[in-house]
Amino acid sequence: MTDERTVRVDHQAASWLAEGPTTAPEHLLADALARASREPQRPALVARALGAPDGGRRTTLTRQAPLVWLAAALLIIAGLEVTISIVGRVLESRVVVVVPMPSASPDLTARPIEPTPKPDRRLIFKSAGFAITVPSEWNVASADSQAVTLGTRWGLGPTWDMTYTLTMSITSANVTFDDALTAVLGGRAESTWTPVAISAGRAVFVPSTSLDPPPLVLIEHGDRVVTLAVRDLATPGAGGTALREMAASFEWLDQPTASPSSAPTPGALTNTYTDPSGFEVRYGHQYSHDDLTQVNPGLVSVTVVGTCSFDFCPLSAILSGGTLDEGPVVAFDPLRRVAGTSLDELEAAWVDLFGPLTRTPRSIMVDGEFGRLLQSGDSAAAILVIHRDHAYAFVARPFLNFGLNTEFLNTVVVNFTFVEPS
Amino acid sequence: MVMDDVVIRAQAGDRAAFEAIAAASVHRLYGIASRVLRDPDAAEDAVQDCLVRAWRDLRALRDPARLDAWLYRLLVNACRDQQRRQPRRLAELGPVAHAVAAPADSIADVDRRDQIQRGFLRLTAEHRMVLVLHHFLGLRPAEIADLLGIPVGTATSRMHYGARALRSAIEADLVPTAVETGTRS
Repeated sequence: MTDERTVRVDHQAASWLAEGPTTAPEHLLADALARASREPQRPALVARALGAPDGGRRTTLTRQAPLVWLAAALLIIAGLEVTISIVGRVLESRVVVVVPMPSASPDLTARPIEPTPKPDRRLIFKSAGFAITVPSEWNVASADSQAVTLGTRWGLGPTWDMTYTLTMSITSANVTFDDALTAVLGGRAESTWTPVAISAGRAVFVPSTSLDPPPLVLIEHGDRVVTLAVRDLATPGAGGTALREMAASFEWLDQPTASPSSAPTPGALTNTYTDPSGFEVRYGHQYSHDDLTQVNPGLVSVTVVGTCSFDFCPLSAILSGGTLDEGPVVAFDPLRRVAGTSLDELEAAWVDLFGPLTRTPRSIMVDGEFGRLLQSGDSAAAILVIHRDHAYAFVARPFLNFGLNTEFLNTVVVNFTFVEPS
Repeated sequence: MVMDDVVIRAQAGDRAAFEAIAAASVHRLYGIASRVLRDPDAAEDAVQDCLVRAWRDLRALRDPARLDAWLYRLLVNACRDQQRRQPRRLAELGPVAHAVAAPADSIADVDRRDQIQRGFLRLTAEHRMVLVLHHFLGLRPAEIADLLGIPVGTATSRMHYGARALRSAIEADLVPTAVETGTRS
């Protein structure tokens, strides 16, 4: 688009925006006053607490007010969590049974280990080659090489107040993750899946609203693939969140062996971003499922999935506006690189930039680091991640008719891997 | 200030004082809402919601001198709610009555307005509001930021983004891009 044409289009847009009525319909005022007459006035404190603007200029105090309410709410929720947890431990009435499917064939050739789980985790499965632990609040009724019986965590989680029966299948070493995923998707009407953030390796969730085929999670660990599937639930579709949470909670105690799918793919990472400290991120675009894993042997490896066309750009370019030729979907930029910067500080900076949060911040895991997914209105969403002394913001902005694609943002970000500089 | 006194009386529950405030604001609010939502019915609903919320929450207003800014923020919220309630219907509507081209307009002008409208309807209420305040009321980014209680950088960013989205919409209508056809499989 030439400058002359841009100016002409902008002028036409401005004229169009200025067009329109300057007076309201006659009945509008009467209708509004009639509705208002039926409403009582709220006390100022109540109105502000329920989200009414206060009309004052922006001050530190007013910006901190929501944080005060948030802190109070967190205290209350924490108290409730403790109370209900105590009650739940007393009752222990919900049980999940995890039974290996007939195809399960743990790798017996791997080196033996003596797992020593952390105090806050519980060993639930152990074969000759590896073991799996889960958070200790999961109530384990029994565990051996044939069957694992778990009790659910009793708390305020959105789905853990239901009872699940799951099957667990562990493939042999010669089945790759990609082959397993292809096989799983092949038997379904809709070939959809979403990534699940896990502490090591990768995992995907394949949804379903029935038990045939069931909703499941595939988890890759070295050259093994673990399948968790809902086996018995009145509403199988509702088990997705629990499945994903369970997958994200797994921890393997052995070191993964080399996976064929993690081999470097030369030339796939065509773009480089270097921050002021010299830290480097390489990335590509126009990925497809064929590019499921892209590993850069240098400082940072990147895994990107999906076939969306997208690009990365510095966040500052978006904020300054007008410097990007085509609409970016995801921006990448270190917001700050000050040692000790907390996620709370990053969140406050985000609110300053894009306005109040319109959804509850969600914790996510990015390559073993805790991150936070934020969204302000329908105009911006980000995943904030702190890695060592750097803080990164992966920002999604709406683009044309795609709107704000937080799912895609999550897809991209959870597949980043930070590699320590050599 | 006379209006400040009226606001204070309305905050104390004086309905006549609130009627005076509403009467002084309703045309301006409707002018903004109709441009933001591009739908007369939705604009009426948004203004009604705005005025009802204004009466209900008027005591939350700390500074009576900032009544206009406070009303604009209520209107943004009301427009956002309207946008959420009727996104499909609004997106499928043709040009609103007041935006219909005059007979003397060329076909190209009509097409261009249609393209601009499609691009505009893809924006969020916040982005639309910034554009309307700038082009309809002639406010500068710093004034818009002050009115809406957002950082100047955010107001500037929204203006740039909105303008770019309108240009992109026109470009997209002319030449479909690869980005538009990309989908996750």
